[in-house]
Amino acid sequence: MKRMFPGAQRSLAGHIALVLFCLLALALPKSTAAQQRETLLLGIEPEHNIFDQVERYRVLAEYLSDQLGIRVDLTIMSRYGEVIKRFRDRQLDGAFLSPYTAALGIRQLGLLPVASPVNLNGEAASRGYIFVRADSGIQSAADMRGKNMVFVDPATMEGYLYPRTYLHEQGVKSLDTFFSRYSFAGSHASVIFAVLDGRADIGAAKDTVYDKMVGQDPSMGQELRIIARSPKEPEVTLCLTKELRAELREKISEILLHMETTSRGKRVLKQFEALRFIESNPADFATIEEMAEEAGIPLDARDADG
Amino acid sequence: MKKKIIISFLSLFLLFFAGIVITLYIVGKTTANLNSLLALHKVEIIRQDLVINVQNVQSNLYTTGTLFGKELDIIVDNVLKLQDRVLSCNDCHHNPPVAQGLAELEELTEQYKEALSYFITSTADTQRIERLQAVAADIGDTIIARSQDMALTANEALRRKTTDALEKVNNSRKILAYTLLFALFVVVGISFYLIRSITRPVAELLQATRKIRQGELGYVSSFGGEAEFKELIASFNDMSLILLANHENILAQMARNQTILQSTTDGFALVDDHGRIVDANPSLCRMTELGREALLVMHFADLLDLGGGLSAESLLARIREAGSLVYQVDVKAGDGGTVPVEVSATYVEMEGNGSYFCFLRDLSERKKMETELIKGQKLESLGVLAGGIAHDFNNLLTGIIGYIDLTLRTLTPGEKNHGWLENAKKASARAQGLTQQLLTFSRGGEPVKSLVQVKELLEESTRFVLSGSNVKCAYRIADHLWAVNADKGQISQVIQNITLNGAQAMSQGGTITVAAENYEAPLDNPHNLAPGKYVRLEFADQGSGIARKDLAKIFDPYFSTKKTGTGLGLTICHSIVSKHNGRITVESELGVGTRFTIFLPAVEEGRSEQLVHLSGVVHGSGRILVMDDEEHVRAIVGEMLTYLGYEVGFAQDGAEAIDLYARAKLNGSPYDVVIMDLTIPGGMGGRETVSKLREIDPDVKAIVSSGYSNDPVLADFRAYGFQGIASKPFDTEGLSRVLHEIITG
Repeated sequence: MKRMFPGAQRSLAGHIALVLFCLLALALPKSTAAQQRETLLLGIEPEHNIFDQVERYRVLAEYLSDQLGIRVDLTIMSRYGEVIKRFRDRQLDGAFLSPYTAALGIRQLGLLPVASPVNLNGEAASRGYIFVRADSGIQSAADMRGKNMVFVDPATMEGYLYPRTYLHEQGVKSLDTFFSRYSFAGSHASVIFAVLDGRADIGAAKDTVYDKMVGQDPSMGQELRIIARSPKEPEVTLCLTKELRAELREKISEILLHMETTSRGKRVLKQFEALRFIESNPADFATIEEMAEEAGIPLDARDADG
Repeated sequence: MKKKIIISFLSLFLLFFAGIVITLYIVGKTTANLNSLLALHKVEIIRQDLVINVQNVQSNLYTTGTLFGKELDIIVDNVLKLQDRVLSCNDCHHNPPVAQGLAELEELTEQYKEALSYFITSTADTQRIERLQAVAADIGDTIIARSQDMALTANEALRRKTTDALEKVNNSRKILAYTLLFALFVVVGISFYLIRSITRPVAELLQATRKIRQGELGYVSSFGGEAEFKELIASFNDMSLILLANHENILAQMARNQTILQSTTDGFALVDDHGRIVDANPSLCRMTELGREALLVMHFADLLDLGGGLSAESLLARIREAGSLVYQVDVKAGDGGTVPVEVSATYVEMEGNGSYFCFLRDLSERKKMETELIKGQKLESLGVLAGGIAHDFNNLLTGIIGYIDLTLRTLTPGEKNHGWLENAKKASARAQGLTQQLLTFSRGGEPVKSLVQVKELLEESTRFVLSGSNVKCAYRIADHLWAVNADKGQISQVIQNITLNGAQAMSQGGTITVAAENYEAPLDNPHNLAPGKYVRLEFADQGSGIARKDLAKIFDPYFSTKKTGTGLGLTICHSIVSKHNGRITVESELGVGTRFTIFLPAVEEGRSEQLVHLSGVVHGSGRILVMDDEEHVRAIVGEMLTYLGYEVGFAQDGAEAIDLYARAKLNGSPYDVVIMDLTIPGGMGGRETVSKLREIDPDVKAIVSSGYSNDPVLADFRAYGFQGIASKPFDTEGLSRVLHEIITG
């Protein structure tokens, strides 16, 4: 055999060496996205106007780039639940997340909450409203039966988790049977416009968006009536992957938490429409977890894509 | 000129500066137009970008949710680019209508963004999503349509502005071209003016210097020019005139020097370092009787007769060492003789070459003068001797004539003794004439004038001279000839000298025609006489005559054509006649004879007659004091006065005479007349005595008596205080007339 297949013996040895090399390469620890690209990629969840939103966050990203000495890129999600998937697919280094997706990321991906912006009203937290048209005659959950309900996105606390929890508390077991129709508008503003336009009877959205639109057009406040309000949860939280180097995470946290102490930081905060950043930690999202448990959609079981 | 240069350069600078300003202005204007065009093009690019972005977004809008849909980040980027393009439009447009359009576009963009956002973030209700998509698409189309409208507007503006810009560029090009052309003309003009202002005066000066170099000294440029050049040309003109003046001065100096050298009676020789004669003047030629050409080939040593004492080389060496030297030497003459000269030589070195400047003064005349001077001195000594002899002779003759005269007066005429004494008296008179000649010869003094009958004087004098010779006189003497106021002795000497010359000119014998006549000179007469009455005397001989060349020099001292002559005879004649205010002329023709003419001023006819009336002895009375140092003179004069009837006193000198005169006056028996000798050896003479007597008696009457009949005191005795004269020797008759005239007033 040996005389018959000497070349085959050498070929086999070569193949074995190649396989061992590949295994060795795979055994080496993976470098982080930032280390590989020398950039930091942060995701953004869509709000009222994704274009204005991107512009606001770009100012903050440029500031971080300058302070960190590395490039900071942004990527916006077309919907809220997409961010968890993008964390995996696009190797995001972090994202500014709404409370529900933040809680999901912390639970499912081990994301680390770093900081939350305090808005111009001095609030770092937001809540969810369940509202109807004032002339709809709906006063309570019971009046909602058979109506048309519009949610924001299954991955939002204000636009889905809270109304599910509220409805569950009010005894609603199945949305399909309770409402004549329910849908997801994709954004809080779309929900509000859908209710205002009469394309839906009941809506659920974030208070900051609601209050802003009513502030811009007070007639909207007269046309709408809030049925229920959720507890306050961190509105937006920058969560970073645990794979990101600890010193970089700490540096990012340090920069954000002290932005208001520098003149340029103040200017950036103003353009970002925030007063400052406050420290954030996983305990801030305990209520979200409880709400999910209560609504029957525990975070562990929640599909990352919603 | 400096001011004009400064102004010119300042003008050029200002022109250059203005050119820069204009150029910058034009470039700025053109650039602004081009910038405007570029801005419009940029607007068009922005608009195209806007359309492209809108179309991209529209494409994204239509493909969202399909296989061809873009990622949301790309869509967001496209929308934000679209927004940037819209906002960038506002950077340029501020025109209200345009700004309003842009605001609407911006508003549409905002609506578009919001609509897109709704569409993109909507995840449920397909119909609603499609509606949102349609709304967004409509807004996008509207934006595209608006941008197309804006494109039309912008294109129109671009076309208009392009035309305008091209027109402005053309205008700018023209302005620049005109500016450059104008600047070129101005620069050329200024340059031409400056070059002309500088080169013309320089050319003029160059021409002037050439003219001067060509010998046109004193050339004066009339060129005016600018201030500095005018001053320069004026200075040049001054220099030219000064050069001319200096040149003329040098030429004049050279001419003068040449004239001096050519006309001087001194000879001149320029001798080079080797002793060769390189120049000689006419006087040297005359002196040496050699031609200039002959002199210029000679050595200076060949010209000199140095004898055996000194060589020519040694002489030149001495001159060279001393610098200048004066010495006497003989110069060889052409006829083999020598000419005594005084050489004044100076050695001068010029430009390395030495020259001897030798002036030769002819000493012949000086030597002759010296000889004549010696001769004159001898004559003067002889004259002094003759004067002394004549004086003594006159004193002696006074006694001789006086005693003969007194003796004759005691004898009866016709007696044998009377005749002898008459002859003795005549011989004494000739002796008196001889002493008179001796005195005239010795002293030549002022004439002692008295009224003289010319006829008698002529006859006595000529006979005396011609006595014993083969020459006779023919007399043509007019009747009633006027008397003359003359020194008888001097006029007699003149007659004798001329007669003697005539006799000597006729060695073979002949006749001298002696003529005398009255002549009244009119105001304008051919003899240059002052108007008045004259007695004309003529002496015409038949001798050989005098050459014309000698005729003018015939009265010069020491000039004589006779080998034995002194050259003084005619000179004395001329002097005597002149002192008598007369005139003597001479006419002569060789082989025919010579004629001398003498004019002597005549006296009034009355006085001539008075002279006639006073002839004969005049007796008188009174006291006469006689002062004379000679005892025999005192004695004979005393006898004469006693014979004439006068009482006589005697004094040996002036002091005694004064004493006697004073005492006689005190005693009441004063002297009426004092006769005093002029010269008292060792005592007070008559001149001083009369002065002192006039102190004692201002009315003293004094007669001067002297053997020196030509003494100046005698010639003008009244000026010295005398009333009359009695020239020794005098006889009783003469003395009586003088005393009579004085005493009778």
